[in-house]
Amino acid sequence: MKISPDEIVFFKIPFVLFGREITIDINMTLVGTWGIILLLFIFFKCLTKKFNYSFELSPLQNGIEVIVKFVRDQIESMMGRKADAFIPLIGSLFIFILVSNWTALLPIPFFVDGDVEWYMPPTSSISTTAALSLIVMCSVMTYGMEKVGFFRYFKRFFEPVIFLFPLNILSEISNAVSLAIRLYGNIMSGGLLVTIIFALAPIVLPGLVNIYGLLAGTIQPYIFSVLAMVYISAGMGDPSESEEEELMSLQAARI
Amino acid sequence: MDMGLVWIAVASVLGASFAVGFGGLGPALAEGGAVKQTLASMAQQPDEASSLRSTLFVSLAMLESTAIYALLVGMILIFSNPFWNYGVAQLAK
Repeated sequence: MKISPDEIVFFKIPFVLFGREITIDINMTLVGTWGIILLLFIFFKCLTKKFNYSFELSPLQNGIEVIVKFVRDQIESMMGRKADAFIPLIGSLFIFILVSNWTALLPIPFFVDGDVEWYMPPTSSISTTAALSLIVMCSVMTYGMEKVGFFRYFKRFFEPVIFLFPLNILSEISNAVSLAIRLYGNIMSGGLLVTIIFALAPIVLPGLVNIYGLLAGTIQPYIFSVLAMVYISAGMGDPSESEEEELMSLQAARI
Repeated sequence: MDMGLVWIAVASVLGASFAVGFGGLGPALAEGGAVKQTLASMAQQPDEASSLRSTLFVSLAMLESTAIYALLVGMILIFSNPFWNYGVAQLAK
């Protein structure tokens, strides 16, 4: 039984780096990740070509605008800031994880060395989720430094007293680890549960468990992006009064 | 079969069962409490239902992750136990 998509290796690329032999495994995680990226890129590229700014919108454009508006409203209500700087990051994370979780239901066969291997979503591998949480943690630092300055950003680790520095560092690391393991554990346990139930009772139950997995797969990207927003917002400090006023006037102008 | 290996297997299976059992118990109670309180608040103030719901989902996921950690430990104990692999390697010598 394969637990992780890392175990399904298509082929290996050996090369020599600094006199040491290194192999890169092209496994299901990589193939799935790049496949989903390609799919989303082509889909949105074709879609946005036909966009217009009149009042007569096509149904697809309407749907996309609903998604973007949802993400923007969530960011503004969570962070209390203008959403423009965060929509690309948070929206991409949300859509990538959502699509990746939903593809868990697709039965796509791959032929590896004469065996049939079934598709597994990349988010059920800890390497993908760890990479995503690293992206979030790096952007926490980047946004924070951009906002308050390079040296003043590090002041936050010495508050409230200097002795708490190790604990602050520890909490930052545990944030990143818990962000990765939460997503990984939920998606992986959903897939594993279906496999085990399928071995026990293959008629109706696996479908019901899949529906539960779909629910978890829909809530988890929301949780992930909300936590990313919370961490970024905490790294940037409290929004100033002028920022709040700007946001209020912006929201009033939209209605 | 070596008795040492048998004891490793027994300990891992028992450890995994207890980890998942007690690891699921705490979060289940906590989530029940959180949902109960949120439902009571929603009944009192239906206007705030949407913001309560989104906060509930976030906190439920945070609570759920404790159970997920226990599940992860249980799965490591059963599927990729380092002590089991060590015992097998010792036996093969």
